[in-house]
Amino acid sequence: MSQDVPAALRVMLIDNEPERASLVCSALESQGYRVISQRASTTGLVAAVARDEPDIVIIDMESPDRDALENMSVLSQHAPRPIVFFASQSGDSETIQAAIRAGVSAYVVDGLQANRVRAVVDVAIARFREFQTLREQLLETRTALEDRKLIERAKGLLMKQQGCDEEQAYSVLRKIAMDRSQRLATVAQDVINYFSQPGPQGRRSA
Amino acid sequence: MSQVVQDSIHAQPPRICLGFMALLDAAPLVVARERGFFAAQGLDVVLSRQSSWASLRDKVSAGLLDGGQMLAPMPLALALGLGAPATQVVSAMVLSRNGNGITLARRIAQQLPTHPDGDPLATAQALATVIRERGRPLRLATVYPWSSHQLQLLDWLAYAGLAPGDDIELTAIAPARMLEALREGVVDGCCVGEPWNSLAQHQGLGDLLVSGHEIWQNAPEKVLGMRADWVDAHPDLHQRLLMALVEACRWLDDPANHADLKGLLALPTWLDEAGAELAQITLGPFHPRIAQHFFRDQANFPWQSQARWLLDRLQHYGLCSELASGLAEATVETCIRPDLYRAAAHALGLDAPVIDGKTEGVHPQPFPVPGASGAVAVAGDALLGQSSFRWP
Repeated sequence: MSQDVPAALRVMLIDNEPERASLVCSALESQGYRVISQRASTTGLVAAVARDEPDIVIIDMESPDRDALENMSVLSQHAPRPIVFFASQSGDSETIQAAIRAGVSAYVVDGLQANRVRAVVDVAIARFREFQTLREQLLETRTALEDRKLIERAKGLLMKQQGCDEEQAYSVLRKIAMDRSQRLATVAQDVINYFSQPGPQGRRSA
Repeated sequence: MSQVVQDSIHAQPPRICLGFMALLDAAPLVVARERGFFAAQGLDVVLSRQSSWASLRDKVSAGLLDGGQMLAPMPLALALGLGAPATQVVSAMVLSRNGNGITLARRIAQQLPTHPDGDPLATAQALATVIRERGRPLRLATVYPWSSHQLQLLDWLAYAGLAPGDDIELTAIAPARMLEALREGVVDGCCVGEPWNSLAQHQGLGDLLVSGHEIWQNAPEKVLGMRADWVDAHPDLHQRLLMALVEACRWLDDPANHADLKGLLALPTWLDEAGAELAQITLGPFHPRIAQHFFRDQANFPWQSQARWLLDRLQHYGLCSELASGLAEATVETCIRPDLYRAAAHALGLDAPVIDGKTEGVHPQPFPVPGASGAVAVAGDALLGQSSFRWP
């Protein structure tokens, strides 16, 4: 082992999303970092940073506790400072842009080499993005399920009202959707609304 | 896509994304949106609630927001790169004046010999006595280092010879978490914006000791700050944005609208639960001692002298480096733009001061300054302890 292998950086992770926190945590630990996990809270945060003296704090961009960290960095010479102080070094401004877009903010102590900081921040960005993708996929799956329910209901209504079979009902929905350049589920919702309103065209007079 | 659809998309003005914090002085943005002042100017504005000032600042720097509601020192701090890399910002309008208060936990406020409504200097001295008797520092919170909260609190404490260190432990806590911190005894007091002083009093957690207005009379509190490159690219939209917000501010100063305002603020999009609680306070939404206002006496005029004086206070408390201090004059010139405000005011048929600065701290009452068509009245600007700031 060469002598210039630096000691493991201590990373404090502040995140109220337990699933995301565990993604980031295991990714960092697998790369040899020491991770101190911390849920965001008024009472604990400032004290925890003072006590544990992390080299880097990774905190959710949307945490209200960021302003407490900003204040610490002004008041104490030894407290971690916002990562934006590294922006003057080449390549870092892209990292910072990527971090903001991914919802990661980071605070680091003075004197850390930029490349060591960047390695940690890159891991956090990747895991934050991964979590975002997972959440979007979940949302899409849910939407797809709800869409299918709407389409089934609309088909049923059309079959009953128009006396057609399932295939015809489906092709009616598809044709309207194509004519209007709308999603099938949107058309299905319109069809459901149309048949459920009272009046001459509505279901009750049919 | 059909030609008609394409044309209508091209005719749409670009969407303007503005950040705000869920505070009472976000009201001009909320009212401009909810009561149609943005729409009347043909503006498509998205308001995006932020959870910290640091987050708002970073998103403006990264271009995710075009601008937004900012603490009065924030455009200067951004332009000078204080606490973050420099981003050029233009501020052509003050959104609100006054709005902060120093609230002390009730258990400590009750130990003060003077009545809480007493004069600010005597109250500071009484607090100093309490701190020395208890023999350990008082833990006070503000909301953000580069804020009028921080500067007003430090100015007030300094009058009783108090400073962070042996007497005071200073910390920052997000406004939305301030009541929890008071309740749990994490802090003994705070300097925070409304509605949090009113709500602390309402919940019996603390008492308003001194208002920001009693420290710096009618100080600029929140301002509009827009990215300079956005203003350069969209001068006409920027003027219409200013016009819409001035109209919203005028609406806000009319007490006839305050019942309506309470309802708006309670909506989940804006102040949510804090707004709903504020709506229950009989005297609300505006605390009489805090004297928050939005339009009267040229409230919206962005005085360059007030920006210089804010920088002077930041320097005094070590929040502005010597290097940045050397750039102060040039930064105020490019960042604080009374000329753009005047153009918007004139387009609305309103007059505005023709001067860019005044000596601060020497006018305890409203006073006249020259406008384009005769004198206009400007609100008093007394500073605690009769201090003043000369201009030019």
